[in-house]
Amino acid sequence: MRSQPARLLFAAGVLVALALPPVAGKYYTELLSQALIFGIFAMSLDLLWGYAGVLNFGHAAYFGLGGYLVALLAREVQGFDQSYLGYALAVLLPVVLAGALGYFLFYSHVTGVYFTIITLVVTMIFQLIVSDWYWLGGMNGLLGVPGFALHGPSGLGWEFDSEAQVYYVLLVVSAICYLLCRYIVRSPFGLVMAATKDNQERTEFFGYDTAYLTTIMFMISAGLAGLSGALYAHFSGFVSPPLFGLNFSTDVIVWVAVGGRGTLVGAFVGAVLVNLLKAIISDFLAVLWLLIVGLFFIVTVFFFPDGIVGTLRRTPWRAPRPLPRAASMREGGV
Amino acid sequence: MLQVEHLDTAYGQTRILKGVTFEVGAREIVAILGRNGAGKTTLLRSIMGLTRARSGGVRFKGRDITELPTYEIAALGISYVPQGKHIFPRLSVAENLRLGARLQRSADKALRPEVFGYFPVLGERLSQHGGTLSGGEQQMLALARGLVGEPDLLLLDEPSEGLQPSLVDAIRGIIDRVCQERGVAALLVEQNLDFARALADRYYVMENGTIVLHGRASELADEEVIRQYLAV
Repeated sequence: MRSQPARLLFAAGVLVALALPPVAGKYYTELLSQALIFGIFAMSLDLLWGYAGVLNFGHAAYFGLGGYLVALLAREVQGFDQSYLGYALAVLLPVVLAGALGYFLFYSHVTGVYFTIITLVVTMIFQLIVSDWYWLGGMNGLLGVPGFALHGPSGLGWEFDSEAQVYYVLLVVSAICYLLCRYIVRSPFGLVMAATKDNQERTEFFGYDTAYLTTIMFMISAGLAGLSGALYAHFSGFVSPPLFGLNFSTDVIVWVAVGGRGTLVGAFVGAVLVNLLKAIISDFLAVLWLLIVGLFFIVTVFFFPDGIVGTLRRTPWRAPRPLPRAASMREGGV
Repeated sequence: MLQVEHLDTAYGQTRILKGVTFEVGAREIVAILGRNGAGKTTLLRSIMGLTRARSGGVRFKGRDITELPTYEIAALGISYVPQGKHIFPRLSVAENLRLGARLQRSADKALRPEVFGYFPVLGERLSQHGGTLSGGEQQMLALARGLVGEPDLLLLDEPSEGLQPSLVDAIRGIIDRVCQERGVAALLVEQNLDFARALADRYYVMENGTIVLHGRASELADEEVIRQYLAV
């Protein structure tokens, strides 16, 4: 039930996104491509944080895992196109890891700050492993990951070389991921997650196994993060230990907070805006840029605690809530 | 239907329930009376598995449910309607009801007209956030949500609390009708003696974590009893 202005804003956003590459030039197209990957990553965190109320402070672990898997496969497996296998594993392994963690943590009622701390430790362990293990590239990381390509049987296929091609591929992938997430949060499962976030005990005595459902949400979130990591490896051509870093885990939280928690679109808005800002400011303020980006974050969170998208959705020009009778029972919805 | 045997529950070192024993028969409405702090709410929470029993047990439809996780107890057919604000304020009325029906669309659809027969006001507020309803409407939503789950037993924690007198009567009438027409049993925790007397078949009086008195609700008029166990 979007209002007219919100629709227009959304349509304008899509048009701008489509028209960008020729206008923006190579540098900014590449920057935006990366921001789209980060947007998918941020959206995966938003699923867990914004819709299940669980903050993962080590979300980079799943991104890094996806990226490293793709890079390793590219180096170790030759003779056939390993990228499909890479994507599959980059989703699957984070899902399994999240499932195991969720099983041990949520079922033992480890939630809130304690969960957050444990996730932080997990990503630091990963960072230690990849930086110290020579086979995984050590501090140098792994190089030589091929770019985006779609290969069919008998030599058919496309390789996406130009910045614009890569950008459009990522735009399509982002849209698919977004629609998938939107479907999830609007499904009955999403409704129970919203109830769990509101009051876990209450949801429990309605007959829902909240530990199980939260674990499922964590697994979906981790799988999507893994996919974004895989995309990143193909996009940048290499992976390195900072992908598992605390900084990166913090960055993604900032993107979600700036864009708006629990909005999905906000993840992209936050990722694009913060990265763009970073790039522009660091151009002429080599030292102070981090300070300014930090300041921007504080100001946003202080004045717009719902983030940019969350605040826009509350502004008065949005249509008022429909009158009670207009309940319009969407099929399977409401 | 429900048998509670020698139930002991404690919060840390403090024993709250000390060997509580009672039962609720099929289609029966049983009231638990007692002052604040007697352990009435803890009793309901222990039945639901939200507070774990230290010893003793709870049987429902002949099955031992003492150790079951809460969501399984609910799925077996017990609806808990706790005290106070117990709806999801940020979800719509319709969403609250869907959760109550455990997302079974068929049950939700089939039961809604019936439920709105009991609570017509909810039908008019389907898309409104639960938190924007008045106190009485929230209480009705909580009851309605308990019903769409098709329970065999309702656990009601002070459904009359904080409501204006006319609403108290309305709620009482609805609970009475629901239990009669749908054959649902109810365990009712109350401080409002008139409310309990009008609804219940039998009563138990709790004091300091034990049952001290029980009998037929119709005989619950003895001034001496009321003064001794229930007056503040």
